Amino acid sequence: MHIIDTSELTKYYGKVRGIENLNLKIVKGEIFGFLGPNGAGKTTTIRILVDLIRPTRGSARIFGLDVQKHSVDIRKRIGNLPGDVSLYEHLTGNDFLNLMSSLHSNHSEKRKRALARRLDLDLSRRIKTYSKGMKQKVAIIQAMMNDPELLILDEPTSGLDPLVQREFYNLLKHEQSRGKTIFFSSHILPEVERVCDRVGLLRKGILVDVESIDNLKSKRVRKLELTLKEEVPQERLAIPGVEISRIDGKRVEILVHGHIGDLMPKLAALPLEDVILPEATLEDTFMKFYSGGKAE
Amino acid sequence: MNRHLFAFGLRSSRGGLIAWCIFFILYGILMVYLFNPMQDIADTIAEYADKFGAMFEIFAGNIGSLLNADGTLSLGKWLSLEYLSMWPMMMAVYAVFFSANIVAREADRGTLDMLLSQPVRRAQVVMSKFAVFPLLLIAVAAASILGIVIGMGIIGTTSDIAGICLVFLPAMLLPLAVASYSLLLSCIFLDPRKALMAAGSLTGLFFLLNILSKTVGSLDWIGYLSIFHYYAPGEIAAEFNIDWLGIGVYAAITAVCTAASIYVFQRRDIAA
Repeated sequence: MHIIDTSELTKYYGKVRGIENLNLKIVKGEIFGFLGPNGAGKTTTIRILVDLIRPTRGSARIFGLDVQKHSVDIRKRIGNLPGDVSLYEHLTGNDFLNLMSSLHSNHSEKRKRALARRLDLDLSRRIKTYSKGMKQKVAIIQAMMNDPELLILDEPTSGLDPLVQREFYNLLKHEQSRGKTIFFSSHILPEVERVCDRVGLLRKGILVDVESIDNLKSKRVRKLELTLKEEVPQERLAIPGVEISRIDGKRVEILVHGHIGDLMPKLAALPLEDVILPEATLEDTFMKFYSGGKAE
Repeated sequence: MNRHLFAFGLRSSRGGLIAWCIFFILYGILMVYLFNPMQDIADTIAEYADKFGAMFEIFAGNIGSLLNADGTLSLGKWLSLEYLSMWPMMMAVYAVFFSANIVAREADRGTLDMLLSQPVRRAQVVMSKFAVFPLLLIAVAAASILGIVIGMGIIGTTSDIAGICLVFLPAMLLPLAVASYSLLLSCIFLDPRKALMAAGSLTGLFFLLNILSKTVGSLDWIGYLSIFHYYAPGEIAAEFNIDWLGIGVYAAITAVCTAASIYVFQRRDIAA
């Protein structure tokens, strides 16, 4: 049995497509990355899974239960972190978490305290005095404190500083080691590569591919910006697996398919002054790769 | 209903509740305290009431003569005019603000997402939050009666107290009915501004219909379309004459609109 199983799941907002014919199968114990640029349909999918919105057609099941008919039973066993975190500002962090946990039967004060310690959050302060990152921590604790079997996380690291992000990734790995399943939605490629086992790529509401992280890495395209000491003929830049996207005098922008390490000896033969490897964005890496492909 | 959400709703409303209670206690004491000085000019007040009878009827219903058979002013009718007529109007305004915000404000702020991610039914969310309002009404009514009783203690009378207490039955049901259609509008729009505007406009329209029915002879039938038409504190306070039709109308509006609110809220998308 799959933990999450969607079949031809489709949501239209009037005439605007949210998602279309989404078929997802998430197995127990995996961290599944749900990757796509903003507006791709990630949040729409999650909102259907937690029964905040209803699909136009198709079905979604969690733990083998229909998400609409058994929404309360399902929500007893999941932790959901919404994409836009909004909390009751007049409450303290502790009061808010107590309110949320009071709606569950299996809440644990000890686990709540342990999570707050691990994320270094003072729960005694009023939420209105919290920074964005601190509010995100409250929402993370809210999702995890009832020890759910499935965590559904929508852009969970939004607002977290790098140190806390790292601790959060460790926390997810720990939960996975305890047999929990995690559905991790993000538009940030490096974090998905870091924590997930498999990835579903979403584009314009359509699931264009589901890959293991290793396969994903071999398929991706990286952009490099080279600054040369002198202009060189274009033929010298003709390297297998490299596509020249722009030449502006001594500045050359290239796209590298596959592993970047294989390219380095060939680049060393050029009169290089500088090499810039910008952080890979999802759009740079995959959207070009998929353009005109299955998504269309 | 979920007792934790109910308790949370009650805690969140305690500021408003305390303010209303204090206001109505003081207002009650003041109005009863003014009763004795008014006795001295009872004839003038009665004359004034006769002259502007239609206007008084808008607020207090058909109260007949303000004076008792012995020519003294009736405390029950006096309070009906100056206190009990205003009570449900003010609570109706509170009802609009309270109920129009119940679901719509949560949706607007985004807290509804967090709430509905927990194992709680949508019907429970609506009912737990709405159930706070009748309790607030009862508390404010009790505080209001307390203020009147204190005022009576000060001036040394207990006349008409039973009738006055009885008025609070329809006086509480009227704002409850207003709260129920405001809740429905809150569930329909899921936008606090639109819900407030719609609920406020509808309440204003009801009030206008009531005025028209009382002031334009040919339009007296139109009053039946207004919820304010069924509230007549003067008749209850002085004569124990409860309008059971009005009670039934308020109860029916409350039941239908609350059920419709749950129906609408359960079926609609909660947009991001």
